Amino acid sequence: MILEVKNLCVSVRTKKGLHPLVSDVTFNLEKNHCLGILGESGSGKSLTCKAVMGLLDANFHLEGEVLFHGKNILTMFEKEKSLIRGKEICMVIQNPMTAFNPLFSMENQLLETLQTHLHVKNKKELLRLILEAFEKMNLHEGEAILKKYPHQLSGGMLQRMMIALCIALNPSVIIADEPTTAIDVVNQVEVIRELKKVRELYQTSMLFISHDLSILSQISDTMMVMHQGKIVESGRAQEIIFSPKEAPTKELISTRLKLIEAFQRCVKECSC
Amino acid sequence: MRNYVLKRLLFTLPMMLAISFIAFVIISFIPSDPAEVALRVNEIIPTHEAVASMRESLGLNDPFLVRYVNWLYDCLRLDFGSSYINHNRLVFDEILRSLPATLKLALFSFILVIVVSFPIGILSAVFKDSITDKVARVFMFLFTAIPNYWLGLILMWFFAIHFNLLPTSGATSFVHYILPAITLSMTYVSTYIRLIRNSMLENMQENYLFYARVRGISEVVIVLKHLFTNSLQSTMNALGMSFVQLIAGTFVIENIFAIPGIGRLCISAIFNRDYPIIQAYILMMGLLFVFCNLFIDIIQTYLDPKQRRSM
Ligand SMILES: Nc1ncnc2c1ncn2[C@@H]1O[C@H](COP(=O)(O)OP(=O)(O)OP(=O)(O)O)[C@@H](O)[C@H]1O
Ligand SMILES: [Mg+2]
Repeated sequence: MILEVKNLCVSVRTKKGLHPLVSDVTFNLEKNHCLGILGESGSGKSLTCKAVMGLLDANFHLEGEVLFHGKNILTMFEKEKSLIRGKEICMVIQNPMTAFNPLFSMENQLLETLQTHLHVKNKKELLRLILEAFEKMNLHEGEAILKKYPHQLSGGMLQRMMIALCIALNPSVIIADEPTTAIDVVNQVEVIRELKKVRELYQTSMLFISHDLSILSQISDTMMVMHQGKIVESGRAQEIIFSPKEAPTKELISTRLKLIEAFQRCVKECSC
Repeated sequence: MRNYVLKRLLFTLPMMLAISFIAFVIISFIPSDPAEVALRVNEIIPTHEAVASMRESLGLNDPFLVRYVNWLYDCLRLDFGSSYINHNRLVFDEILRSLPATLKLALFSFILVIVVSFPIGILSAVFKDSITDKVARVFMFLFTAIPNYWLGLILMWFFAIHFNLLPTSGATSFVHYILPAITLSMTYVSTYIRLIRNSMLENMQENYLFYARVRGISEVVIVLKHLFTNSLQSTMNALGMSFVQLIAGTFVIENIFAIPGIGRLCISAIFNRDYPIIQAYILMMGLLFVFCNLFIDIIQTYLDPKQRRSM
């Protein structure tokens, strides 16, 4: 078992006391396994990820355990966490357009990340790693892209670069927080396909978050549905899609049904 | 890039013209007659004939615009006339002679402002509401409120008279500048602590900082490279202005510490009604503002990748 989350509760400290945002979340992630988290906006998906990365600051109160290879991330010292975060657990975050510092080139920021985690200090070697990862993500003319600044690239490109960064670092877990919201349907299909490829190549475990059922159904093995900070349903992806039991799931599915049809029609068009 | 600079330079021309006009008009509207003043300061009794001949020699009988154009033409040749007090002394030489002391003082203060306010600002933003932050806020409050001539006198009494560590006046060596520079910079230090602190707090929620943490970048790099540089962008403009203000704001300090700088030159010119010097001073400070502003604008545009391309 790579990642075990046990009874994770996140609450925010307010003037009136603790306000619960995520309660009693439990899940496991095995090697080469993809767990999808489905949930409407504000259901606590991103917060769960942030807690798993050990990135919630003192404003939040945390309970439960997040075990990475058996060690609790929540009680680790910053130094221990820094060995895991960004190296063993990589994350693709929401809102790619604002994810990079506008003042530095992509090359600068990607190199900076690799230099932090890899022992290779040779710049050429690291650049080669990045360019290889770019190729895997279907980002061509990588050298030209590297010279660019974030505002010169599209959301989809930036999202792919985040994924490429994950590939270059070869982590044990990739957390993808809505990696398809910033891009159009055609690109979504491609990104999903590329992420699947990464899993096949490296056998990386994946935590895939979305509020879009059709996307989740493409990539995840098991799935859980979050609603107002709680897990309302979990199980094999196919089962949940075809026989949802809880009301929030049913609602999510019925509102997405029409979209799925349109989406699948599009997938067919793309693949032929 | 070169086109951009040239274009910006071209746009400063009307501004410079306006400044020169204002400098000229202000002096022309001073109620006392320059001719009479010029006579009085040289202890000549201003009889009608004397005034009339003085007006003639100073060219005061020409129409206003003619006088302005003549003056402007002289200014362009760096000829600002000669002092009323001592006709042998050219205004330009006077200014050139007193400029180095002021520049040294301003530069020293400017460095002091940066060296002191940046680290404190960064620390008090990063450790918001900590002891450091609270002390910095009290300090900020105090030094914004304390008038700098008072601070100057206190410092002088304490370090120069009581402990006899530093000289009270003069500008012959580096140590002479220590007290005046501290005095001059304190107000700015507190301003910049506040600016840096607020700007950093504003940027702290930015998504790129979150992603930098996700990428596992160390906190020191995040604060100094990603947060600070972005916060500096918005303080840069103020910094450019402050440098000019430091040069222009040395009046009081130069007088307290007896530094033979441009502020002192101007004060004595005001007391002596030495109009050409005052006029040249106003013109010079105005132009300095324009050019510093331009310079900072260009640097800022250059440093911002979004704007650099459109240059
Ligand atoms: N710093 C914070 N302080 C207080 N409340 C917060 C904070 N961050 C998030 N929340 C709240 O926690 C809830 C869950 O937020 P979260 O970002 O996890 O939602 P999400 O499921 O990722 O939604 P989306 O699909 O819009 O990204 C939201 O209701 C949000 O208002
Ligand atoms: Mg979210």
